[in-house]
This record gives sequence, C-alpha cells and structure tokens, in this order.
Amino acid sequence: MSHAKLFKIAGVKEYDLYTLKATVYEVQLRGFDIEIVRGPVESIGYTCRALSRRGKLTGQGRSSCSNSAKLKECIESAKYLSSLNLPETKYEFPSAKKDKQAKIADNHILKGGPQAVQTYAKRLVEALKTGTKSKPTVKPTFGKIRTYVLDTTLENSSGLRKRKTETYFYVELALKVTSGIKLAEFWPRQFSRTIEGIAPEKALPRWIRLAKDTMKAKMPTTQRMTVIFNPQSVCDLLVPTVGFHSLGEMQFKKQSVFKEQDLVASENLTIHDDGLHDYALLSSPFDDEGNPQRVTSLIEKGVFKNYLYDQKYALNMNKKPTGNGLKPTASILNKHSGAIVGSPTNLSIKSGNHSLERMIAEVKNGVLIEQFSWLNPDRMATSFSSEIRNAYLIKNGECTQALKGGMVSGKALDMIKNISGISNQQFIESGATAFSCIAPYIRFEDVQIAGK
Amino acid sequence: MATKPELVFDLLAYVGKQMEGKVEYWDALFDRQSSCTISKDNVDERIAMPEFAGIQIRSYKKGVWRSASTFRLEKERLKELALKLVKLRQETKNRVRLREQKTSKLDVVMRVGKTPSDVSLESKVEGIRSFHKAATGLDKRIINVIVQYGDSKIERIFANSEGSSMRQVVTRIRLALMPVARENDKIRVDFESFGGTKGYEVVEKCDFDAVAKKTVESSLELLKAQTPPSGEFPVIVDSRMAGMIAHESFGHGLEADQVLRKRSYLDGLLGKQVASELTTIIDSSKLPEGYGSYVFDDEGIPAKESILVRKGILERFLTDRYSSSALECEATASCRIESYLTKHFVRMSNTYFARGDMTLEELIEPIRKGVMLVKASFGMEDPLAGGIQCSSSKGYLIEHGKVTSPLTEISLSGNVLEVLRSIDGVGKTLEFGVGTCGKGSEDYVPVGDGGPYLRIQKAIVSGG
Repeated sequence: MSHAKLFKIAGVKEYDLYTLKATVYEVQLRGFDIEIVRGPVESIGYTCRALSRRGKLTGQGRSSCSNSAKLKECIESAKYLSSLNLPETKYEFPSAKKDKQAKIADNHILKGGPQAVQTYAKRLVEALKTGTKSKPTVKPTFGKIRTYVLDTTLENSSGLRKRKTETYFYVELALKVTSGIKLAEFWPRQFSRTIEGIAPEKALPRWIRLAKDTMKAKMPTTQRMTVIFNPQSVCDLLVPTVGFHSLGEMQFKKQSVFKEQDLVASENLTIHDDGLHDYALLSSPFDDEGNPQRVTSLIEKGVFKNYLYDQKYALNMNKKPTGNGLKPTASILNKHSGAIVGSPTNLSIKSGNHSLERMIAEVKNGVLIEQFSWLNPDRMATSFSSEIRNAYLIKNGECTQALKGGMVSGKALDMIKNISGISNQQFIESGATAFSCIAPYIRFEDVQIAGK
Repeated sequence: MATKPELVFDLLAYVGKQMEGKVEYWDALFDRQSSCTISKDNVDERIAMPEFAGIQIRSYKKGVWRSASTFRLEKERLKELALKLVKLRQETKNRVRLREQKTSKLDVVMRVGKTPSDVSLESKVEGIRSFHKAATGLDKRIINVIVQYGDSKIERIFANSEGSSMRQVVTRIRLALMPVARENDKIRVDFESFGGTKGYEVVEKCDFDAVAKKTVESSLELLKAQTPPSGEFPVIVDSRMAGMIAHESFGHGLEADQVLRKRSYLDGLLGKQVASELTTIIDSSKLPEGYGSYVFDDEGIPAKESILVRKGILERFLTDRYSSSALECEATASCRIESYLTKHFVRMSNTYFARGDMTLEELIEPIRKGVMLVKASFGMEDPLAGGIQCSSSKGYLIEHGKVTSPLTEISLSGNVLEVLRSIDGVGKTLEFGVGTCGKGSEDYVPVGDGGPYLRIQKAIVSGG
C-alpha cells in the first residue's frame, strides 16, 4: 500500500514522511592491529509528521519507527500527538520547488562496500609505519575508519517527493608519542564526504608533527594576547554562536542580538550560509522539510544582512524559507527521528588575503590554536572557556614553543569585532560541537589565556 | 516482526547456532528503545514518540571481534549476517583468550514508582504546560522559558555462546527547566534538571512553583554576574561538578580499553596513591535510581558496584569481557552500547565521590580569595594525559571565607591527579545528577554522576 494511502486511511490530510536508510562499514584499530570489523550496520527509520488545523494555527505531532509494518501505527500516533499539540503558530508543508544540485556522494564509498574501509585501514597503517619511523616514536593507540551510505526520501501532502543519496567518511585516530616516561598525543576526529578528503598521505604529516611537538609542550601563562584559531576551532566557535543569532526563529523569540544592517563584526569578516557547496558536510539539494537549500548572505564586511528561515518561522514572519529546516542530531543514523529546527547548513567564512605564515609573522606575542579539548560555547551568551590540547606560543612572528593545558576564554560575538587577519585558504571542516563549516584560520586580538 | 521476548530469544538462539563451533565466542543483543519527548517554550511545543528496534550480533576469533547490525528481525537476514561474520578472515598476533563468565539467566523489569507508559499523554502534556506556566511571567526580563521532558524505555535481550540468556527493561526519565533572561544585549540562561531510573513520580513530586522561582532567580542573577577571574585559585565545586571531575577527568582514564591501548594516564598506578586520603570514588551500575543504572551490561555481566579509589589509593579499572581477560581481572559489568547500531565500549555508569564530614561553610571558611563552580554543564576526557575540561554554567567568587559575587560560565583546567591530590575538604551531603556521556564525541549512553562539595587547594579557572 502506498504511503499516501496509509495517511488517507488514518484520516491525516496534511503530513510528511521522512525515511532514512543507512549502511555503515567500519574497522577499528588497537595500535596497528585490527580490533573489530563492523558491518554491515543497516538501519532504517521512518518519521512522520501530522498536522491538525485549528483556524490559521496548527498542531503538529511526530512519531518514528524502524519497521514499515509499524508505519500505520506510527501515523496514528503522529495524528494523536498533533491533536494534543497546542497550536500557537502557522505551518504548512512545502510544495515542490526546483532544487539546485550539490556533490554529496563519493563513488568509492557507494561502490566500495566493506572493502573501502579495509583498504583505507591498510593504507593508513602503511602510511603510519612509514611516517613515524623517526624519533621520538609515534604510534596509534586506536583508530576508527567508517563509511556511511545514506538514502533519504521525503514526501508530503503538498505533492513533494524528493530523494537523495549521500556519503560520509569518518576517521578518528589517537597518535601517541613516547620518549622515556614522557607521553603526548594528538587526537584528530574528522568527517568528510569522500575518502580522499582525509587521504592519510596528506593528513598524517600534520597530525604526526602535532603529536611530536606536543611532547615538548608547556602550559601558557595567564595573560591577554593575540590568538589564531585553526579552521576546526573557527567552526566550533562561530557555527553555534553566529549560527544561533542568525536564525529567524531566535529573532522571533527575542533571543537574537543581531539586527539587519547592524555592524556586528570587523569589516574583514564575511559569512555566508552555503547549503550547496560541493562536498561540504551539510550540503544538499533540499533541506529536511523539502525546501531547496541555497546560499544566503549572513554577514557582509561586518554588517549583518539576513536571517535564516525554516518553513515554520518563514511562514510566521512573512518571509521565504532559506532551506534551513534541518534535523540536527548527535547520531547520523538516528537523524530521521529528530525535530525540524532552524539551523545553519555550512557556514562559509570568506577567506582573507594573507597566508597563515604571514598571519603568524605579524604576531608579537600570541598563540596558534590547533586543537581544543572541546570548544563548546554557550550559544546564547556566546561565552566559552576551553582547555588547550595542541597549540603553539608565537613570539616575534615565530612559533617558538608547543603549548598544552590552560585555557582560552572569551565571547564569540565580542571576538568577531576584533579580527586582525583571515587566512587565504578555506577548509571544509567538522568540529566537535558543530558538524559543518567552511573556514579559514582567523586571528583575534586581545583574547584571555589562563594558565600557571 | 518477532519482538515478543520468547520469539526474540528464539531468534538469538538461531543466530548463535549459525556461529556455534566456528568462532571462539559469540553474542547477540536485541535492542528496542522507545521514548516520549515533550519540549515547550513560549512559542513552540513539540511532542514526539520515536521508537526503533534491531539486533547486533558479534563474534570473536583469533583476537579480532566482528559485528553486524540489522533492523530486519528475520531469520533469513540474521543467518546471512552470522555467516558473513564467520567467514571474515582478519586476525591479530595478540590473541587474548576470553575468560568464561558465569552463565546467567535473568528476566528483570527494573521497577520504578510510576511507569511513564501508564500515564496518559494528555497528563504528561498538561504537566509540562503547568511547569512552563509556573516559570512564565515571574519577571519581565525572562524572555523565554524552556521545559524539556523525556521518558525512555530500553529493552535489551541478550544471549551468548556461554549459555546466558537475559532480558532487562530499564525506564529512565528526565525533566529540565531553562528560563532565558535578557537585559539589553546580555542573554543568560540557567537550568535545573531532575531524573534517574525513575518513573513519572519525578514530575508529580516536583514543586513546579518553587523550582521555577529558584531557577528564574538564578538566571536573573547571571545577568549581573561578573566574568570569572583567570588563573590559579582555591576552588570549591558542587556535587554536579564533583561528579563531572570523577567521570570526565578521572573516570575515562580508568576504562580498561584505554589501558590496553596504552592510552591511560593511570596505567601502572594500581595500588598507588592517586588522590588525597579524603577521596573515595565509586562507579556503580546498581545505584538505586541512578540515571546510569542497569540490570546487566551489554555483554551479559550482572550490574556491580566497583570502588575505584579508596582513601586515595587506586583499586581497579573498569573492564569489559575482553579487557578483564587481557588484564586478568574481574569484569566490572562496564560494557555498554548506545544502540544496536553502535560498537561495544568500556563505559562508566554512575560515578561519584563518597561523602566526607564537612559543611559547605566549613569548606569555604579558610579561603581568602577563591572561586566556587556550580551547575556542571559539560566536560571532555583526556585519558592519555589526565587534562581537565570541566565547565559549569555558573560560579561565585569567594572572598575572606564568604561567597560574594556571582560569576558567569566558568571552566576548570589543569592536571586531574594534581587536582585530586589537592582535595583537602569533602562535604557531607551527597547528590547525583543525570547526564549523557560520549566516548570521545560519539556513542552516547545515559550516566549518573555526583558527590558532595569538594575543596581543591589550587586549580586553574577561567571564563568567557
């Protein structure tokens, strides 16, 4: 029986059905050895939303299941929940619109099956053995190599029918350096759309250098100074904070401090929400409600330009949706069951004019951050204080000393008013807090460092 | 789809039969999770009832684990997957022989006061609306009030090659209030949360008006809070922050998979002094009503209480079946999965500092200038180096033995062993919090943590 018929039998006139089918393969390493071979890990999830209409306002219910035989029950449940839901806002499901395409899948993952991860694991181990011969000894303590193939279908009562196939690749590795009784580590965790996005031959030299340098690391002293954030740290600093204050929903709820045309940042900062950037992690032809994703200007030369809208807040604020109705979740495989909320897709921070080397050369007294333990700012207040895991002290234009421990703290929305440099290269990044960003290195002035 | 327990046991036995004699060990785990979540703020009300079910099968041979997971609870598919696992050729030189564990037969539904599924959805929604209403309109600077409710039921059915067959049903509940305060461009939010392996009585016993008033006042207090000082100070932490130190900074280094990976700062310290003599740290998956409690772990080992540190001496690591075999020590029932889709890892359950004998006033009294951290918000582990990232949403300045000004979001850093060794005062009131723990940035499981107030002679603090 068609899904539309199931909704009709249940008496649900307005609905959508989001289906996510996933297959995962994984190899995990203990040292250089294989600890576990996983796969296939196969999951399916159906999430239906039903509307109940009371005048211009709508109640909404959401229910999920992992078995098509339970779909009827799931629809009944969503219908019942929608009848309980207190209608305070308008909603209607989007109709079909023409989407623009973005590259979101890697053929090597689509066709590779379990072999893709095993081949990469061998390649990684080989590259590690070759790249870690010189003293001090660098060894992996563990590693995770994982591929995802995700098939999403979305249909609704407004006649929308959409489908996409996308891939992810995940590598996590802990590289330990030992010299006598001294120990140090670099612990990269990275998502990519493609296997070559984390090619071991390209990624490992930096990872090994950071692990080795951390062996000589000291804790910084307490002072205010210039701090350069690497692209991953920029991702975790700006996506949760600038992203939050850029949401139409937060303007509606009076929780955004941004106003259109206000100067909110240094003139060298330009940020777009780019939902169509090839191989960026949240690129997609359509968002999780079915609206086309697109490029929206958020900050142009320091001036806040536009809010981001999902379907609901676009309707309630008389705006057009910007393709930002997403299901953010901690687990890719359970994404289907999440609520639709306004979220940035890929914040793209425009690159500047200077190389990283020149940005460092211009610093008299500062820090270059390569990794925080977990940069997790308060989205509303935008404040944070995060432990330094891997960093360098910069003295008179040169990285002179590796740093570990101590903290960097500040408020993201204050810091973006004090940017003195942006590097000329952008990187597709995933952070520990934010899933996706396209970011350069950014240099901030007068940042608090805490240490001994 | 076979989801009645007796049918699931049959399925698991059938899967095992495909692997019997062809691998050194196998197990199979059925996982069904259902929940009800209600969130409400001044604009949105969201009600959802997600549910999923699936099976993970594992085998162990020649030092390597293999696993596969599926939502298709059909004999044919499970047989295909089992045969795939059997055929995998990987092996390792380091072949640990798994020690046999005692065979267990269990079928336990963990008892809670009032089973959430026995409460009508209408009542739950009304309850959440009442809580929201209690915190609304108390002050015009409160621009939004967020209430979040979630109950969950996890059913796990387990069988293995040792003949164990076990079933558990664990119910958890969580309720949280977050009033958002705003004055000009300053926006601050504090929170209060409750929960555990408890039932709907958590909502029914909650004094909405009293909790709302206290939490709203706390959010408003944050509007006038100062940025914390940066540097080394004497520190007092509340029970939730103590729990976060026990769990994030200390506990992750005790997970024996990290020891086997040679990635634990505690490797080689068993039997040694790792904390001050005032310090005892426990992990208990049997803690009554603890958010991280269960009946048996996801390898079929019945729940246990483990004293990790007794009077400052490190007594044991937390282990799973593999690491207890490799390290030749007792399995502590610490192997957990997030769902049938994720890997088994050594994890904590409810981790906490034992109580001492001091009042909060006695702890604060000798401090000339220090900082008190309250309301733990998040933390991150550093198992190799024992670094600390523990953040609270609020703090207070301590001056001349008295709590003075409120402070905004504040974090604790430094080396965890230095911090534990510098504990020189332990409070006498023990409290627990509810939380979710990731291994690194994924594989989230429910955990509890707690302790009394602790006084740390010196630690690095800073805030944004």
